[in-house]
Amino acid sequence: MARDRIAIALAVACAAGCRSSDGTPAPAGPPLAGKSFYRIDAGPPAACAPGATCEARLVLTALGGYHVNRDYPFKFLGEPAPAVAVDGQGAFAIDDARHLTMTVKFRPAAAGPARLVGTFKLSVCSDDTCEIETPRIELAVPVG
Amino acid sequence: MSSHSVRDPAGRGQIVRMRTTMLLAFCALVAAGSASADPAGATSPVIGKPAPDFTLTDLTGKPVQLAAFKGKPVVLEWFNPGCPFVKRSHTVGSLVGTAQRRMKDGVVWLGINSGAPGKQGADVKMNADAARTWSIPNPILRDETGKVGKAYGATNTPNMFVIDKTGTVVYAGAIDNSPDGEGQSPQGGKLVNYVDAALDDVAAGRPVQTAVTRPYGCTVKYGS
Repeated sequence: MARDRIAIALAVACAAGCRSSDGTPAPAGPPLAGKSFYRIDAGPPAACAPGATCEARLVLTALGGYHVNRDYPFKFLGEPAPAVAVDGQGAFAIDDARHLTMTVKFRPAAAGPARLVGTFKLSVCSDDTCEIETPRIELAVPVG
Repeated sequence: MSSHSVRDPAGRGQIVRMRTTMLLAFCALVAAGSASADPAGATSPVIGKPAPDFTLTDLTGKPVQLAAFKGKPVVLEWFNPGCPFVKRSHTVGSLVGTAQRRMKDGVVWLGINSGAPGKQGADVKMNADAARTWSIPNPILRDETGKVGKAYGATNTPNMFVIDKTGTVVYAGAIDNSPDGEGQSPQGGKLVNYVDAALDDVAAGRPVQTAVTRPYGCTVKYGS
């Protein structure tokens, strides 16, 4: 009971804008993947029609004392069917020291939710260490 | 001086001449320094210079002096077993088997850990475990004060240096052109092991074609 109240209080507080220990605003809602030093969230959805080349965006946020490793060749390695086929290995843009956006292109055959699945190869660093992470990402993208 | 030149056109001319001279001097300095910089802007304070000598102890406490290897090509590899880039380089990337292969050809290969006590990867047992697990054939030397690392300008792990038979540093930089440490993301399309290439050039008696690159990986965990 008490635990539930704490959870509700945390949810309300996060809805008002969670912040990591260094003051970086953390996106609301559960991440697609993450650990204490990073999280991955789905970017804003873009219009996507069957047979067209569509784009999905993944946003990496470095948390705590970590920042995006500017030297690292970030990639999204898509999984084969039944997941939707991905073109290439994604294209990334470093938005600022703590944020990176990975754009993944794919071509869905039919309307309905496309299941985008793959491994996001990423690296974040702190003053003390660098980490390489390879979380598996699964994302349903609306098509049609 | 400046007030005089403002009133006197000849003085302004002198300033222009001085500025031109300074600009030419700057250009000359840049040109002279170009031997230590690659086109991408990577630099090294030791490239083309005599390798700073050192005596460090290996993981068993045995002293190793660089000068003892004069007459042989030497590779220095800045090492930190806690760094994921080092781990990947030694398990799937360009450092797999490279030291073994080159040491058979008479190359001296020395790992150096410049991590200060208590910093990531500085623990002696951790280094010994990594050497065993990753089949590292070369000694790993302890540079706890960071003096040797700073003398070479080592900034990353891995950070590689190749010293030719005369004791001159002929390569400084990354192990390869794939900054994931796995050899899976070569910049420019084709994987290049810069240390292999430099050692080939040294063996053939020709200048090292790529003498300086920008190292990638973790920062060296110096104490201060």
